[in-house]
Amino acid sequence: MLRSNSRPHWRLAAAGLAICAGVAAAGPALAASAAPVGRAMPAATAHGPTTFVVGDTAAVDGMNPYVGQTSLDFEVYGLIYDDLTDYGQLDYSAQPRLATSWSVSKNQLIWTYQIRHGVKWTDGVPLTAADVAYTFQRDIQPGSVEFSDNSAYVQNITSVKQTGPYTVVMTVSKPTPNMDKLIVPILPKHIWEHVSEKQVSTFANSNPVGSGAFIVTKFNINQSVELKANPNYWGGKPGISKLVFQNFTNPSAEAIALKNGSIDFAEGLTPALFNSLKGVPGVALNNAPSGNWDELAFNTGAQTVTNKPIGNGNPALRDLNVRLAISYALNRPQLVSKVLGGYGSPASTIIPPIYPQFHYTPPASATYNYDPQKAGQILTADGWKMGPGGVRVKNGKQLSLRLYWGSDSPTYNADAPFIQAWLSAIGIKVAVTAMSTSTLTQDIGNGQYDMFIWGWGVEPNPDFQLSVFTCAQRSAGSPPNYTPGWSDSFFCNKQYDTLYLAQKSLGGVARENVVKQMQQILYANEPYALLTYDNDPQAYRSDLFTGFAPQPDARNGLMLFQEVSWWSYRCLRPVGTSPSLTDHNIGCQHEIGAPVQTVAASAGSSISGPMIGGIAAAVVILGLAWLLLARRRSTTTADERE
Amino acid sequence: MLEGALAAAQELRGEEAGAARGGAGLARSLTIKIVSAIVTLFFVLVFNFFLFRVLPADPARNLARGTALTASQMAAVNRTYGLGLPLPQQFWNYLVQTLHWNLGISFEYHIGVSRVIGSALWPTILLVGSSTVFSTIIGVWTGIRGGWHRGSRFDKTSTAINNTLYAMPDFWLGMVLLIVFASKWFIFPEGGMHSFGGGGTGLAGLNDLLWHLTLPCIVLTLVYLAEYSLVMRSSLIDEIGSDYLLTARAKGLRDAMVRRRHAVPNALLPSITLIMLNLGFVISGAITTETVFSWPGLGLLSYNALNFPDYPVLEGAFLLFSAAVIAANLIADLLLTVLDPRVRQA
Amino acid sequence: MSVQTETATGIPPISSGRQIAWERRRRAMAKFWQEYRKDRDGMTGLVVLVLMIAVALAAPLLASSRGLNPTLATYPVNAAPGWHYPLGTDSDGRSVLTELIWGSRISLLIGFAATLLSMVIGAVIGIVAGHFGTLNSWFGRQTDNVLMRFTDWFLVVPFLPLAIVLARTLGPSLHVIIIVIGITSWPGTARIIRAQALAVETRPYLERARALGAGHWHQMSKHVLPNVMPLLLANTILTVAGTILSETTLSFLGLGDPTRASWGEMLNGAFNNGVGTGNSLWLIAPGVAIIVVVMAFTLVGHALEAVLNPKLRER
Repeated sequence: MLRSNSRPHWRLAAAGLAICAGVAAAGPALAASAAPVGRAMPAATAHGPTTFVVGDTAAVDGMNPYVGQTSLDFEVYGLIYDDLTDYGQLDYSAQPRLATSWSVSKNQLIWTYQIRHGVKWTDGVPLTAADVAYTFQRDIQPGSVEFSDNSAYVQNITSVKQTGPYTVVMTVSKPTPNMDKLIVPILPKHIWEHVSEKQVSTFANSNPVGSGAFIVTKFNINQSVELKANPNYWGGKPGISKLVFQNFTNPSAEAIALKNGSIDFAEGLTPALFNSLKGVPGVALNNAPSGNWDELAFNTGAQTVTNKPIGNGNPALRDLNVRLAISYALNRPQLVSKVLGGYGSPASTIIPPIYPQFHYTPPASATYNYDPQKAGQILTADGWKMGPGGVRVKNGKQLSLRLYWGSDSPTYNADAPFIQAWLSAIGIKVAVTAMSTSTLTQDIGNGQYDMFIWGWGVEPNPDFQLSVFTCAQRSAGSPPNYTPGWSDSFFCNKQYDTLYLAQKSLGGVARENVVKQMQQILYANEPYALLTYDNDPQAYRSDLFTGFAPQPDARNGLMLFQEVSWWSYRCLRPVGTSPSLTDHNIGCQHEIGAPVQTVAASAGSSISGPMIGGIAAAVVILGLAWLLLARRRSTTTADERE
Repeated sequence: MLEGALAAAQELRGEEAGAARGGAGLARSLTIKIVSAIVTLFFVLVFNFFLFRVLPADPARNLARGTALTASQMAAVNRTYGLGLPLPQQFWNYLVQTLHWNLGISFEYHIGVSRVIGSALWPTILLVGSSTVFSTIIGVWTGIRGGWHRGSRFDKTSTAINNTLYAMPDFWLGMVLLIVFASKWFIFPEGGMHSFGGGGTGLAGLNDLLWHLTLPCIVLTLVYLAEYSLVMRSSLIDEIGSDYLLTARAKGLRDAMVRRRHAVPNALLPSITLIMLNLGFVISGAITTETVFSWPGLGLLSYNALNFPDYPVLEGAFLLFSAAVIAANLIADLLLTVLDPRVRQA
Repeated sequence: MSVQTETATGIPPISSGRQIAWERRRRAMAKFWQEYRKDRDGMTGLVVLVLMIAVALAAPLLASSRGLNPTLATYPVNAAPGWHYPLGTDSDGRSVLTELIWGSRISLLIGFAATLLSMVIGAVIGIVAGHFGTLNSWFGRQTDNVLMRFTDWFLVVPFLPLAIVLARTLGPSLHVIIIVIGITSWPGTARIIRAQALAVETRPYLERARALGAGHWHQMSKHVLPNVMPLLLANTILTVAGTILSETTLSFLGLGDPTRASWGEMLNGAFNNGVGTGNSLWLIAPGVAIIVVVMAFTLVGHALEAVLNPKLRER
């Protein structure tokens, strides 16, 4: 009606579209380079040179070591509390921590620990054997939350007694060689004796009193945990004054933060983001093998611990031939290159290669290499003939399987279409469904699945991972919802179970052999078709911090987030400080040394014996460090693709 | 959303005028509104309770996984989290506890849900509050200017920009800003609420907070100002066509006077209604912005709780969101009652 | 419409009531189209919309669906635009343009389907509430009251948390997303339709129908619904814009179906894997596409409203 205004209104829309087009055109400009060109890297970070900030996509749940569940929780507990011993940085052997020495009786059943003198809790109270005894007595109460949390370590302990101010004696029900590697945080009796059993699972522990190298100063849910160095740490004062773990909701922001110097270490990056950091000055990239792997798990015949069949798994998967055929049809190297971006390796057995003494490498003839032809032959010989629509048929039933995975993992989201494609190429119809992990856990516990994709992280002590495949870890209880155990393949093999019990009482090479034998049984029966050993792509500001103590002790060992170890945090120091700041700290025999230019020449003073020794040691250490660092530089610039 | 809000606003006005003309006193209509809000809240509580009981949740089984807890031990854990009792009993406990602001124990953080939600409340209020202030001021101003000078260059540009912003996914805008202002040029931080060490207290701390607040606030402001501007403009144009304004102009009143004294105040009503209605929703709608910028507010809390899944926290957050919307609606209703002269004079 | 006109122009006389009704409708539509054409914004929006739908339907002709299969992707990952991939590639090595074209199908499908669901629910509730509300019976007023309280309550429940919880429980799949968005979007429609139904109810021919003994069903379906339909249509178009945005939000939060490449899923992927890498178009392109489509729907919807409601035309 009042359209007498001559200007056509379509210009409005056009203007809007032009804005969009402009933004789109800016896209390539934004895409130009990953590294910000011409921007000066901040000389010092916004948070001060002695504050070390770690970014992670995981968050800390709380300070109560009995109920923590995320990987970051355990990272923090190991910094504020001490265990009796540690897994050594160099070779995972037992290292003294709160226990200075230990011995076992002739019958292998009585362990005696000497507790370190002069250790103080952060509130000033001295630490004695009473605290150790109290902690373990609490942890061995059957059916308690404490027991459930630490059962892998304290299962066999029957009694714990304090026999002197600095001596503790523990009795085990059968020979348990792992008693020298009890990764159990020692808690102060004078705090925890006021927390009853009923209160323990909801006790916030907001100002934790510990004996560790760091003290929690601030904990903001979903934001960060701030810690300060414990100046009286018995193991030597850390080289950084403040340590912060910052939570990011997405790894992209983390990568940006690392470039900007807002954080000094980025954990949880995706391969694409890791690659985007290549060539950024000051950032070191570490493609570190880890204890994590992913698998394709099968429902081998779900039954409860009382051998009652449950669920609706496809009976075809109870047939070993079908599982083997599937394993042969998987192109693992392609998963490594396409899904992991090359940051990993094809997987075979459940104890990963970073634990070489326990890892079992199947002989080449028995390895399930990518061989779709062989897979097809196995199925055909098994009676599965190719039918209409390219799906195999046997006894009138199609070979059709369901594939599940947790939708919040981009890795599994990416794995699924590959697996579906490879299996359909050999005549297996696969119906894919992404779901929430809680629904998946429930379905697994009830046996209502065929195959799923998931993963595990393995500790230096293989006991827990081995236990997952024992008969006792299958579901228990009654319908409609069974109580799940840790077994998600319902594998049950008498010989395997016997060997499991045996390895609990063995040590040294004897144990290694048994563990390898167990892996052999698993590999031959394929309750899992392992997919990939995943590396942990870590990135950090090597121009600002040095002194990392990698574990395993190699140039590409994990710098932080080591498997149940916390070596680097005690040895870290800002670039430009002298190595002597931390190299006398416990466990810092083999950390990355300072860059060459910051070696402070010792002031000219009279030469003496100890001084000559000291200079010689310094030369040796510096030489080692230079060698390590030189190789490190080349790995950051050379291609890491496998 | 826009049209629905406009219609709702006009409906409210119509109902208000109708009720006023019908002789119902101001106090009576106010009481009815408040009672009605409480009833709605109650229904939300009921819905909340059943929604989260229907979902699969069993913290006892999760804690017990791998070790055989006896039935009585599982019952003990269940009792801590308030489960395992007959449903009506649980519902009664739930009502009583909620009234005492006891929202249960978080599955993930193992402390009271009210504490967990409390820690996330301030960041959300800060973000939502600041962006609402800016979007209201800018949106209303551009809407008035555009509506009064309809067809002018300002109006056309402003409408085009608003239409584009309205059509834009807010997290996409956030990501683009993040890339440009945090990655390409390091002008603003990549996330979080504080720096570490450099933050500190006092003026420096405030400066640091504002630095972190800037980008998420800009995103939320842009997203909502488009809507406010468009609605303000529409309702002003509606008003302009009214008879009484013709009369005012015919009497010789200056343009600006007509605008300021008559048109704008009346046209403001739907905008105010919309802003209040939105306020309730923005608190939950900020979820995506908080996710992009790692801003530790209620949205992020809900998102993390969802992934865990931490049902008590979700339940508590849900309740808070619904209560916020109910409260905002009530305030909008009351404001309208107070501001609309037709109602006041009745 | 009188019958004499037809005789005068030589057309055989129309005899049935139905034919009269259809003739009337045809003329109304022609007039409607004439009015609509005058609105430049609306025409632009319509053109863009038709183009988008054409692209979605013609997707197999424009880009091979094999390009969506990550197992067959051979291009370099996160690459800048190249000859075979004008918008670059994603972190799987698939062409972003292919995903964009095929993604339009999913996004538009979800948009239309969810809106259809929401429109049906909203229209039913709005018409029933409006119709019974005008009856001078206690039963009628209570029905209206209850339905409106129910609608109000639904309006109060915040969309995003409810959608998230439902999607989480029911699992991330296409039909779940449609249902979730559909059942959280109807209240706005219901209110508007009720208001319009109230207006229609006071018109004289409805009184006549009632006097002639028409039942409730007849009144609602034969009289109220057709008169509410135009406004419903306009509202539907506008709702589609909203549902498309809702889908992108849900996918971004990880609740969408990861096996389908909708625009929201593309943004989700770009967010986690593309930021700061060699290809920002993976992030920019779906965003621009969403803006364009949503704006088009909005312009068409506003134009429809303006044509149907002369008072609005002055905007």
